[in-house]
Amino acid sequence: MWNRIIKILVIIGVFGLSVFLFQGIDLAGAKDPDYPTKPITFYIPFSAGGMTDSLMRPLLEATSKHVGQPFIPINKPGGSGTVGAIAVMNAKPDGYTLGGFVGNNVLIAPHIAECPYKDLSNFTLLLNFVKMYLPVIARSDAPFTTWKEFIEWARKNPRGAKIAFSGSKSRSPQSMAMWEVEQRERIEITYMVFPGSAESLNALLGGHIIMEVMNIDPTRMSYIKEGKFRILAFLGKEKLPGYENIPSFQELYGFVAPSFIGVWSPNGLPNFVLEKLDDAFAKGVRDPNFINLMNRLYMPVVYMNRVEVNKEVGEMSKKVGEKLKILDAEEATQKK
Amino acid sequence: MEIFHALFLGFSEIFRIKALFYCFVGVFIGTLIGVLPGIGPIGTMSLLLPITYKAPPLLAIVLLAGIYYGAMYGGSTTSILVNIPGEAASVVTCLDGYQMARKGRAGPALGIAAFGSFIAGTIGLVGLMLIAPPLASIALRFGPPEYFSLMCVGLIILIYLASGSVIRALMMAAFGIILGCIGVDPETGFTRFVFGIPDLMDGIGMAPFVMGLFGISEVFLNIEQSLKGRSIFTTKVKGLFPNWQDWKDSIMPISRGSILGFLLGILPGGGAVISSFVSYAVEKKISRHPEKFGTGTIEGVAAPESANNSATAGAFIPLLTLGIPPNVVMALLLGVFIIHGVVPGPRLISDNPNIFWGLVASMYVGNIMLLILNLPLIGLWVQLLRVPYKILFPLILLFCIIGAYSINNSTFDIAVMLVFGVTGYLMRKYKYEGAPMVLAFVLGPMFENSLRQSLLLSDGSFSIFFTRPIAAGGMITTILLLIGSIIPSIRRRKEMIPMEEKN
Repeated sequence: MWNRIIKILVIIGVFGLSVFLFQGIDLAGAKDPDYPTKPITFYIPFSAGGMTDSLMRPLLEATSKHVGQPFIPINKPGGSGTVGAIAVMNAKPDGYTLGGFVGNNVLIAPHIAECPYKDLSNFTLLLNFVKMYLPVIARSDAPFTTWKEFIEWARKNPRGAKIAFSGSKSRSPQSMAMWEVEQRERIEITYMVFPGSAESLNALLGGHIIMEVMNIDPTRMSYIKEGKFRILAFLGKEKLPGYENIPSFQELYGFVAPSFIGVWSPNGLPNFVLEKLDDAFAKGVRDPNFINLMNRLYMPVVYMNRVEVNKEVGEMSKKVGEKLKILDAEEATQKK
Repeated sequence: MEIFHALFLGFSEIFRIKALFYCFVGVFIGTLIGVLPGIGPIGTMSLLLPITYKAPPLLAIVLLAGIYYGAMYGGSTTSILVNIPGEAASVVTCLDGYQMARKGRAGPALGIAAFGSFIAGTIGLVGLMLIAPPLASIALRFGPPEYFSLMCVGLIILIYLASGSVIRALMMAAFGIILGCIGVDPETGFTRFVFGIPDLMDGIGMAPFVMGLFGISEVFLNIEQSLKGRSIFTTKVKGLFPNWQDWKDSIMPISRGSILGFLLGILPGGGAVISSFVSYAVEKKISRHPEKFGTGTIEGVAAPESANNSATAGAFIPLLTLGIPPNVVMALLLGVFIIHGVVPGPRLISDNPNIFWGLVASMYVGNIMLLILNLPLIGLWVQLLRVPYKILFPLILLFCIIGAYSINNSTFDIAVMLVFGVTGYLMRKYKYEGAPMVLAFVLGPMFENSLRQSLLLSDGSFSIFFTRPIAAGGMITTILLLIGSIIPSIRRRKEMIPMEEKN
């Protein structure tokens, strides 16, 4: 009889032990209220040392102490951010794979044939953390000193203004914004696409081009302070501190060139993971060291949480889509 | 005189235990990854970036810079030993260096590469010290039309790269230009030859391309040879260091390579790759025995290796004096500067002299360290060649595959490498050369971009290439070079005709 009792006790014991042990195993893959329990992979869609990379790595460092685990940044460059986006899209939605996104990923890429996603339904946008100052920079020896003067000069010199952009009209929100200005002000400029901001700075310093629309960085800022360059306008809403008298496109024309730099994940993350990440990143972007660094890089921290960023991206995406249709039609007629 | 004061300041910064340690770590890691195919300075610098955040600015920069020029020393090692370019700038070293290794002269090749790199690095440094600001302002005068004329000269020089039939070299160059088109059209953003593969939108990666074309194809060829029963490295190793004759032959190529590399390294977009090709072609053109190039001449190793090292010194000039990084590695370094609160540009020398001169001094010290590091290793590397090929080649393949993946964390790059490995194998079986293809691949996109941008600047007029002085100079050089290469064949035909008439 004792033997039977012992057998029953052992069976109960083994059963209980296995229930206790199985609790620790992530069977469904996403029912872990202790998330995160291991490091989180983070795909940066541009190569190391680049502008985007130098923004995302500090954010990850600032956020990791609030989320409780380190991030593992992996650079996945290619296709202006598309390769990195695909890596995020195909990852398991368990919260252990995240990625960074820029404006191009969410506004332009879905309209390009090579991009495997045509809308953002495979992604969850978690936050936006930086908006770029997008100044229009002109050489100080240019025959105009303000935006108004530039417009007048451009009217008298069609295609005379050689302006550097980072992408063509259908590939860059900045060029698209400038094209809109061309329509409204009835001017014609020459778009010169420079693949790298270093080549553009070289051409601007050397006098080969007269203006550029690229992101601001400390090097350009030092030339502006020295008086070699001048800012004529801002393509976004944000203005560089100290340059509040320079008009922004919002004031001049009522629209802006959208810019986003944020974090996204594959769609389908469980709610408690999303909440944990929202909370951690919200604290991360407020880290004083991080804000300090961003200010030194002239990349203002503009935090938009999940709700806000989805709304704005949605709006901008629609506007960009409409403009792209017009641009494509224009291209088609030009080819004939 | 103030230069010496300034240098003294620099050396006082660098001759401290911590600074010397950082410098040594940088050049050591640089040599290592230069030897390993695939992963190059950029990948390594980005890995070490977070560690350098905590370090003082000068030491962080010294370490990362050391990785860059150290990699140029190490890159020649695998080129010479196993025909695998450690990175793109070492492709040309493969041509003669590997042939020297097959003749048992790997030691002298490696030695001349190390010494040449040292001399060139030092010459480049002296240039950086003395004439940086005026050179930088000359670099600024290079706009799209000037670049275009430079590209024209570069493409003509292609002809001189060919050891065999010129027609085949031109065919390979044309193919290289087509490969360079893969990606997106810079003006409109439309894709070319991408076939819906996002990994191709930035074009074919340079490193997997050359690793496959030269390294993997060589492995295939050697396997085929050993299947036929012949062994690969039969000749005995003849000496470990360059002999007196080698030095006599190399001193002028090293000097020419240093100057050429330095000047080309200053131009954004120029850099170590182009300067190595150009210096090789120049040496071949002015040599008394051009037909020997490609079979294992010491000049063919000395010149490009010197050029790519002095190009790295030249590359610092636009970064430090103007704040304009001329290549991707310098762009990363610029990021490091900025994160540490130092803004490179015209004010760097005046605002932060200790950083500028400390960096210059560290490069002197680094070059010496590299020479001391690399010379004894030559004996070690030469021993590697004694390993039976059936053990060696799987290791080579393994390192290449890991190297190709590590560049972009992408398996696509491995596929690219293997595809070009097969292509290269077939090419070499039928005597088509890879070097013209690589040069055209590099120059093609730059040629196109500068042409289109120039025409945009001139509103469509071609006269822009002849009205601007530097561009006109380049175009005239191109035309002269073209005529110069056609004249000999016209003369030969004139001689042939009377002979035919006699018959």
